[in-house]
Amino acid sequence: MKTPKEFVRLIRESEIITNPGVDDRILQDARNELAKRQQDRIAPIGVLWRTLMKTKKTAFITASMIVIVALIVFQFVGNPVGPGLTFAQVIEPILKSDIYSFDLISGSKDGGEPLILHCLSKGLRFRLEGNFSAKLHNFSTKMICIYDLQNERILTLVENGMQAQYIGYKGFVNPQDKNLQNPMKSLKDQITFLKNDPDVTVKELGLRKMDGHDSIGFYAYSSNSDTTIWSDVKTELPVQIEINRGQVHLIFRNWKFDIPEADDLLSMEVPAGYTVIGEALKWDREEMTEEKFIEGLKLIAEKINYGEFILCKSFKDINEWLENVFYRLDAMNFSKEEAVNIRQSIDYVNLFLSDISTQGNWIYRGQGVRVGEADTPIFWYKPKGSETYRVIYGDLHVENVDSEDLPE
Amino acid sequence: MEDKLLVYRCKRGNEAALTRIYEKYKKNLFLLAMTLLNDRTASEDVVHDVFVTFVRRLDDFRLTGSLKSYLMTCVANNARNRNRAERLRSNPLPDSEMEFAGCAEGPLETVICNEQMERLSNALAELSFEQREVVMMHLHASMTFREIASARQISTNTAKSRYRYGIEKLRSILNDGGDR
Repeated sequence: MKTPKEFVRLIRESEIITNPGVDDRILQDARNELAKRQQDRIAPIGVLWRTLMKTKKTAFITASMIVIVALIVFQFVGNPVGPGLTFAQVIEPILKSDIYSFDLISGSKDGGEPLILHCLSKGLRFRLEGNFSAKLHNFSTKMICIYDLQNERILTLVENGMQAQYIGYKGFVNPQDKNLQNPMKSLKDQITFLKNDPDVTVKELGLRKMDGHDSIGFYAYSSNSDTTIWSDVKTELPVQIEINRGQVHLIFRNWKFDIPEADDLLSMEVPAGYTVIGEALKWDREEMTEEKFIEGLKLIAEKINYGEFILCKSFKDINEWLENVFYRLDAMNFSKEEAVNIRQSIDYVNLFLSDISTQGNWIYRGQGVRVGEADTPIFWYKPKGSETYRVIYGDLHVENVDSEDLPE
Repeated sequence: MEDKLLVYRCKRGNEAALTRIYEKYKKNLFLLAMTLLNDRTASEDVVHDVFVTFVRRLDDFRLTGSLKSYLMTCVANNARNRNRAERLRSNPLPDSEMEFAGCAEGPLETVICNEQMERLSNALAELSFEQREVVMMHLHASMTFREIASARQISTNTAKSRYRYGIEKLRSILNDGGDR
């Protein structure tokens, strides 16, 4: 079928000139939407930290909950997701070095006050440290988490109150590599994998002054994340690495590779002056499943919210959710065994939410819905690699749903 | 590559990137909307909705093909929905009896079209909406029949068939009108 030349000519020569007023209206509304979107972008780790501090509960709860945050961070560091790490010249110093430190910034300038953690790694030890404050409760403290990867233990230290707690974990360090839980090896494996991943595209961003360094930048993106790396052109050491993945936005900067005091800072001994509190907790990554999440939603609703699902509109509102849950948990006189059981469920719900938040968005609409309402969707999310969404209903049955058929 | 970078920057909240995308594709989007709807105001609304929705859904957006094709498919979808809603609401004249009103002069002439644009729209108004859509998506958006079929959820053969009938009709219209 030959296309009429006259028609093709008409398409080519047709012109539409939009009045600036039209352009302004459309662009202004789009910009407003962009601004609103930026405000909605959240710093989940920061939110969680702030939540912990705002929650006026015992140090036992606080100290244990911070580990959830730390584990999220750890998944990014010990099990890197950034395709930018494929850039050999940038990543090589990290690969070669057994010791390094950096500042990890969660959140953006537009997304509220960012959270800054100082991170240190040597061999099979890893440490996170940060100052945190809760203005509402006039409370601030320094918190430290030290990971012993070999023994799968974490030591948490809360300076305000000088309290320490040990926590066991399982499966959070490179679950693909069960033979050797060495983050450096998993990093190398990951780089090798990304090098061969056809979905990863790399673009050079040119030269720029970054933190006083003449730096060269690379931008790499794949289907589920994008990474920007700036590296010193002379030393080839990284200056800044930025990772966006799902609802998580992280910046790694202030890299150092010579830390003489590392051994002291990474000791798993409780420092003098600290008191060990509570019982050792344990988390198993294999139990961070949808099934556990659903069990947790049900248990929390039935045990502490009179049969209704707890308030939580989005990850941003998870602080409300936690406050609500902990408030009710404290107010009810559960037996110790039952309280531990509920605590464990709360932890798994949060861990699951944190986990899927690194993969994409989820929506919670359970507020005011009673357990058993089969027609009311309360939660949906898109599992990694899935084409469809998982929608959980009020009676806790789950359906696979195409994106266009999602609830409004 | 530029489009992927622009989308990335948009996702990061970069207004300049947003403006660049708009400026880059607005003429294509308006032209498609105008030829599909024959209505200046409705075309503005369509482009407005498509662009704002594009920003709203940036989190879930993944650019796998051409950004231009994506946006034009969105325009076609939006125009189709409006067309359907308008039909249900007012049972208007068949497409073939529609006058091209898109560039009629008015006190607030927000979109200005040249003579060729008027002739293009008048010729296309003789086609059914479905034929217009396929013809413009193929010739203007440079989409393959497979892409059009996928976007419209029709078979490739149906897309080709609509295109063939549309082109035959256009040839007849333009031949009747002579080479102006």
